[in-house]
Amino acid sequence: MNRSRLTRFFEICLVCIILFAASPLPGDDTGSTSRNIRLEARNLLRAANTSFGEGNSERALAKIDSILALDSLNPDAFFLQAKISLAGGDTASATEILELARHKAPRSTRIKILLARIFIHRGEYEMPLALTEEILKFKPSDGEASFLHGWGLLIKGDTVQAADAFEKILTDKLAGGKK
Amino acid sequence: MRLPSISIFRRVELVLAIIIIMAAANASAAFKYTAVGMDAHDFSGEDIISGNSISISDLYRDNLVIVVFWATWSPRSLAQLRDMNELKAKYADYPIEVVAINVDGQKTTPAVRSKIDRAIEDLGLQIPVIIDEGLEIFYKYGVVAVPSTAVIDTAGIVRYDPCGYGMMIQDVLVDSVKVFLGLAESKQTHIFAAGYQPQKKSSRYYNLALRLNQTGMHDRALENLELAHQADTLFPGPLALRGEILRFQGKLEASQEAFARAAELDSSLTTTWAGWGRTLLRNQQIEQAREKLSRALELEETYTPALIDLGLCQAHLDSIEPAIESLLQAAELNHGNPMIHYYLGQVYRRAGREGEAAQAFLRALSIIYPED
Repeated sequence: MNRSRLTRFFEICLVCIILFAASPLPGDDTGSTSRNIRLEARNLLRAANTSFGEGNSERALAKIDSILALDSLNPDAFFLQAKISLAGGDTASATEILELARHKAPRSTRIKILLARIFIHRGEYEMPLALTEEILKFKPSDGEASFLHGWGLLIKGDTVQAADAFEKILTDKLAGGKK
Repeated sequence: MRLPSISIFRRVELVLAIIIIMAAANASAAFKYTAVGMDAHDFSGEDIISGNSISISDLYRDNLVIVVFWATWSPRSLAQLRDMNELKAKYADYPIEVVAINVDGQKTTPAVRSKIDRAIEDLGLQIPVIIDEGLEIFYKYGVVAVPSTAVIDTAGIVRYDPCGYGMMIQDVLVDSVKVFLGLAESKQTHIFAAGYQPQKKSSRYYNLALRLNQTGMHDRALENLELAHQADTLFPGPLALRGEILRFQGKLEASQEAFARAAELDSSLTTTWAGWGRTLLRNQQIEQAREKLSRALELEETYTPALIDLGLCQAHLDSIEPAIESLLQAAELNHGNPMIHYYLGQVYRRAGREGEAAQAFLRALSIIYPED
């Protein structure tokens, strides 16, 4: 082949590669499928929150089931499910849901915070301290986690440490860091 | 049932009677930005009981309106609502309206809403209840403690603005309503000062300055306050607000001067003395601050900002127990203010009372990070 034909051949190959990469293969539409799932889950979550806010827990739970059917690791769905249990006075179920959610979505701060609060209200400190330490390891300036950590210390009986921790958070938040 | 017809002369007589009765009560100041004699700030909202829209300017056109700022965490609020609910029921066929504005917090979480609904049910409230989402009305009026009340006459003028709710306030409210409705005679024959009613133009500049200040446009606010002052040199409001803004900007000497001028015009305004005291405190002039704050509290013993600052002054001067007492009193009046609990915690720590300090800090943080 002469040079111009070779160039032409490579050009055609390049165009084919580009066209092939740009168009999805039939039955392999993963990009838009996962986008659709996320969108659907978000819409369902919004509807679930609205139902819960209106006092319709059953409808909210049905929406949550649909979310988890689409996305079994959805932390927001677990979080809402736990809140619904708490609203119904069922802290045992809420704890169970959150413990499971914590393993499925280990990076979710909301789940750890809510779980910590449940244990704090029971007067326990070990779990809240462990949970908040996990959060603070990656988010050292998380105010709520710091607060619950301090609360755990207070329950434990480390009053001075708790007061120190609380004062630091409040000084940073209310007084711009100035005592 | 027909409303009683009241001739215009009788109405004027009744309004004057209210002025007399209300002026005879202790000077009071529930609001930072609204004083007796000024136009009531207009607002509207949804009554969560009936679902109807309520507009205060529509209400006061034909009625004496009692606006109560309340919160579920304030026992005095609940007592006042109960009494105002009974008052309204007793005079249901007369031109008087009571509106309850809930100011539990910046955001109404489901837990807070549940408490509000429970309070309404427990008290059997039949009066409109508006939830002040975002505390817009709260900030507009400059509420400093809960409960706070604004009584607005049919001209839209604030006639009485008590902070807190005790027997004296209860008596004044009930007596003045009876006189307004022509159901009792006023007992006084002299007219006392009833708050300065500023020129309308000055009022407009003042209200604009207030809004500019609240949106952070402090220099523009100061310009409008200057215009307000020029339009009415006897109106102390612009000078006092000028003092607040200058303090915020760190111009403490100028702030003190503004408050001094406001006090010269009207020495009965709690907010002026309290603002002056705060500026002095900020400038580390502790003894002078204490003097001004004490003056404010002589006029209005439940004015929370003055109680807080007096507590801080006392702590500075190592009068720890009085400081704790002042701050505890402030906390009782304004339980939802995390700063009060924070200061209380710090004073407890100075006194070596770590357990109480931790509990005070915990209360502050529970307000900042409420449960959903």
